[in-house]
Amino acid sequence: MKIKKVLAMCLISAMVLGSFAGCGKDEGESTVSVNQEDPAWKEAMTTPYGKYPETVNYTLGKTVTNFDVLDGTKYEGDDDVNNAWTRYLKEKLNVQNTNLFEANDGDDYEQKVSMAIVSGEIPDIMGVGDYDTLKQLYENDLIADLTEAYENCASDKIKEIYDSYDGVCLKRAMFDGKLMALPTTEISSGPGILWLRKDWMDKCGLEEPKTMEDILNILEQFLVQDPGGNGEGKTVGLVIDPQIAGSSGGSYMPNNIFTLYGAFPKQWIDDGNGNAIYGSVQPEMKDVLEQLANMYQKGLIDKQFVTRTGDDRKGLLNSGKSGAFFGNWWGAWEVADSMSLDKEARWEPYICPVGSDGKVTLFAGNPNSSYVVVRKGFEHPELIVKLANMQFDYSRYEEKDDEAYKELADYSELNAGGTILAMNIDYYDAFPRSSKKVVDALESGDTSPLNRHDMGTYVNSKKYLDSLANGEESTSPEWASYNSMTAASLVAETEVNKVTPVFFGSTQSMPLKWPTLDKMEQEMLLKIITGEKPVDYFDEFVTEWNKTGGEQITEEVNQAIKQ
Amino acid sequence: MKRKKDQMALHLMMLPGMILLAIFSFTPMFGIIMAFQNYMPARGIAKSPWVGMDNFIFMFQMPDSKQIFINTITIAVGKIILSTFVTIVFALLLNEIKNKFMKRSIQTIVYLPNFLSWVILATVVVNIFSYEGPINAVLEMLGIEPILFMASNKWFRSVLIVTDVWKGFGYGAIIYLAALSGIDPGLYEAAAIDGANRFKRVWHITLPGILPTIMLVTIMNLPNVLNAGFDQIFNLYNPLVMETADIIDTWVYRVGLVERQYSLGTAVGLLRSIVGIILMLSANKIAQKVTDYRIF
Repeated sequence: MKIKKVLAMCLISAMVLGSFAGCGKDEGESTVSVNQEDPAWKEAMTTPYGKYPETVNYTLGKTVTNFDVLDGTKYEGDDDVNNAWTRYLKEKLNVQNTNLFEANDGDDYEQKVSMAIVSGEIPDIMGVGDYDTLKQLYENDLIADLTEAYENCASDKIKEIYDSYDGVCLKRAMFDGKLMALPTTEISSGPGILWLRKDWMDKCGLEEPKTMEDILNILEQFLVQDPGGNGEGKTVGLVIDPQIAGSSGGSYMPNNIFTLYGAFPKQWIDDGNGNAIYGSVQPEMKDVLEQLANMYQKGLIDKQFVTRTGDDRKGLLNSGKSGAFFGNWWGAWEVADSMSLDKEARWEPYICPVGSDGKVTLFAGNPNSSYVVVRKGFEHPELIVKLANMQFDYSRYEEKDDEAYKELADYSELNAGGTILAMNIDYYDAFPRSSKKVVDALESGDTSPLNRHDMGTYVNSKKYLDSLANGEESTSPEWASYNSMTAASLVAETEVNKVTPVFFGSTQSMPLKWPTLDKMEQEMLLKIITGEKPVDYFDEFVTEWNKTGGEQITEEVNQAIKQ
Repeated sequence: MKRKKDQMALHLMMLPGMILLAIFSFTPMFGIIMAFQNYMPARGIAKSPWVGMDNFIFMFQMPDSKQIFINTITIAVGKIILSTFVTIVFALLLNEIKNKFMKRSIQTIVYLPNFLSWVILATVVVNIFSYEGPINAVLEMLGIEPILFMASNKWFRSVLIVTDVWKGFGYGAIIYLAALSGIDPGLYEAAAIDGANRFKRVWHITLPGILPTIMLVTIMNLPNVLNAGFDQIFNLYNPLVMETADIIDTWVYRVGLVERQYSLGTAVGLLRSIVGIILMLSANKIAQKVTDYRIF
């Protein structure tokens, strides 16, 4: 009897210990061991484009790629570890990835990263969605120093691109003078754009909107005249996100209306004397909120926006329930399906409402909202730089071999993903640069100034225009791709005022206090807009906000920017 | 010796369950240590700095802690009371149905929502209570202004409680139906002969008969007073109704997981468990005193 008891106890303790061991860190070792002195290896590890003598395997944490678009093409069956990009990189660098984890973009991915950090088992290379996580990774000594790798291996073009941000971009990824990540370069998303149903406007005899009054009029006529034939009172007003505002170029965010009144919600801006102030608690907010509450009251804003999900919003616009939303130049993608449901549907982008100077004001986004990092202990920290060279420089600008490029071009034409690094490294003004070149080329027919990157856009647009000219029907992606580009060139041609926030990071008290403050702010915004509280409730909120830690955090932010 | 051998077999049968319990319930308890640390994932429990009771102190100093506790208790107690009431009434009514086919069908139908996760049900609930949904259609027919239930602090808690009870009462009724079938039919016959009508029979025979079960279920429910149902609320709430619907769990999620304050999250969870245990033990004691019945 006793023996059995002992055995059972042993078994249990073994299981317990086993599960403890599972919590420990796995020091995953790369399979290839490298002789540093071997010239072939040395060459590969210190030059931008050098090929490894033996295949280097690495694990990756990445966002999910949708390979369904490849169905029916010769690429059907491609996946995360075997697709145009992985084959290209295998060919050029002799490297092969396996995915340690993958997740949908956004919250899902962030959660996976958090879990990876908790378990201590992070992939050799992974994307990190925010600065706090990056900082945490650095402080916990989980990621590799990339300073030397960048010095040795970054191509001249990559260095030039990073330099086009005046050093601001790389600096954000530096800790104690060491480069700990490659930051994504946040090319300016441009001003917010009001997308409207042009066919509805024509039906109602409405002109292109310029001012706030024009917008109000159009929204009202959409409801009153019901050009979509939804039935009386069934047409939905402006579709907005329950977050209301705050991300630069954010979809469904009427940021332009806020900046029209000089309000900069959720931004740390300069008060004019070099001090940082929080935009959401400034008195300018009151006028905007009054306006929005008014619009909501009249139904000019979707009455149920608070409970809508992303799919709901897309549904309202694509099914013709609503004909207006604020987005950005790629907003065409949000409504690409309208055409398949209603052949008459036409969406047009407008940069409005303009202020007294005839311009829209935008607040700039974070210069680098995400990062890619290398696990500390990974034998080839330089690999990440070399991947960046390939993805953002060589394949775009240098690749002379048409055959090698063919697959990548096909992918681009099919709108398939598959790139290894979920980031972008491009010039700050990449998007006016590129779209203007494409538009010019479409007009003149001369494609010589276009690089590989622009060429993909050009081919798609050309195909679209040709099929339109032949009276053929276009597919939704063709339409969206072309209209995003024309919206982009509209942005390139339109002069705007730009306000750059002075702080994007986190301070000492923020992790503990921000959730509460954020909740208060969000409650206040929604309550005032939906009319549950009068506009004067804003003053109460500001007092409470300051008392609850807002004042302290403002001080911390000011200390941080003065360092 | 023979008896002991029999018991050995029983103990062996319990072993797999005990092992699972040890792995998934006892082992993670070591994580409680995090509540007294400033836990940093990469350093692990062994190397994270100790902060004593700081996390608990912060929790009570937080401006919305009072609101969160009130919300949690209001919603949870509302759910417990309404679900107990509805479940018992439903079980009694179902017990009166003599047609076996009808009885089975009804039981199966009300049992179904229990199998759906809140992720799915949330979409259904939001649509039912939207402006275009059936509830507002009925209100409109009655000439009442439509109400956006999911964004109204006046209605949101009620929606939470009612939909939660709707989801769970079919499942909850099973245990009462079992208890009902255990009542001696001879008692009813005797009562009928003595001239007791249906209500009297329910009052004097059925209810006392299932009282131990009611006590048991209520006691088992009590630790849930601080558990208002994360899945449901997380999938249904929005910032507009946080005033009435932000509960401990949703708060822990936002601070603990989204902002990665693991220690604070653990501290709140620990406190919740302690309160739950105290409630359960005292309920057991009270039940023993009042009805002379206890579960452990």
